[in-house]
Amino acid sequence: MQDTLKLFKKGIIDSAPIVIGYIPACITFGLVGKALSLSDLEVFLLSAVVYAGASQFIAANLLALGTAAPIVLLLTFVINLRYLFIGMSFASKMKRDTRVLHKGLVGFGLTEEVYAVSMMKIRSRNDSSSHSLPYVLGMEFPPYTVNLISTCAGIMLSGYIPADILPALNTSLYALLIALVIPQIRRHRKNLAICISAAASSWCLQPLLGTASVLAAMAIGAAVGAMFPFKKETVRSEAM
Amino acid sequence: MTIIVILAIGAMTFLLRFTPLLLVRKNGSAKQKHGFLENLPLAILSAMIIPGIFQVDKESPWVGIAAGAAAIFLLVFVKKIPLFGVITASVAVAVVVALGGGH
Repeated sequence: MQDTLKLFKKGIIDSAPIVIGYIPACITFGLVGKALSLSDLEVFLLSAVVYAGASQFIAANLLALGTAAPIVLLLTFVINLRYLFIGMSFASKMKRDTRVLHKGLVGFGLTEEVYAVSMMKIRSRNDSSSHSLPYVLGMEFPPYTVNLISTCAGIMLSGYIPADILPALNTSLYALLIALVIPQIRRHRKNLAICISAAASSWCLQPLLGTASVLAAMAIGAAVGAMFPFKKETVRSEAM
Repeated sequence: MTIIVILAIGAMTFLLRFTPLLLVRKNGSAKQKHGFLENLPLAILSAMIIPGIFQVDKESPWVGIAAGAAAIFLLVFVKKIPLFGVITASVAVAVVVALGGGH
């Protein structure tokens, strides 16, 4: 019992860098969601229920545009596919006898940041305690709590930000997307081809297809990437 | 209606995170598939940036372009910058452009 509490506390302490990152990001999400004229409840639920960074912003954007539900679901599904890889990698470091309920709790809070920090701690300390259940839950608890509080703060602050600036604040979504894309492009020539072909076809097809142009562009970009010869990349470090 | 879609997105996201945890194996390392599926995330992100960034402010495409240029500049030339720094700086640039010459 003493040990459980100690590990839980250790997880909480180790989550500090994640918490510091989430506060401004979630305030921004609250502001952006309101700027897109979603309701308070919709913005809050996107943070509380989806809790998945970039895909929250994208879902908010698509919902505000009035995109059809199947397209919103399909796009967010594709963006969040990365969690399958994260989950598989994380699972290999979890104890086999962990109860399903506990796995559910861990899975709900397993963001990229929690994954990355917990894996780094394991590597630096070279022990097995890092993936004990209390430690992981301790690490997941503060970021999620801060996510809820900061999103509410963002929602409440939105009334005090003048209307002219709101479209400019929405550029934060694109800055985030660009920040995710640029490191990938720098890693491999194939990725540059994917990026350019997808972006160009999205732009060209939009007058014809509306929001569905993103789906077509996505398929075109991925197909262009698949034409490149198979080459062993260095492990995609920040996604993993 | 929107609420139902949000709950559905949440359920789907949860399943993506939770299901792999049920498949614990001794040497269950994540093997990635190279090809079409692996390229999808990057393709979708790129397709969402363009042309969306030009339309973020309906009155002037320069707001989005300025924000994008600022983000790219920081990411390419100032490598040791946290994600939040990139976002704040590019939003600040966008606000300046919107309040200044943009409108």
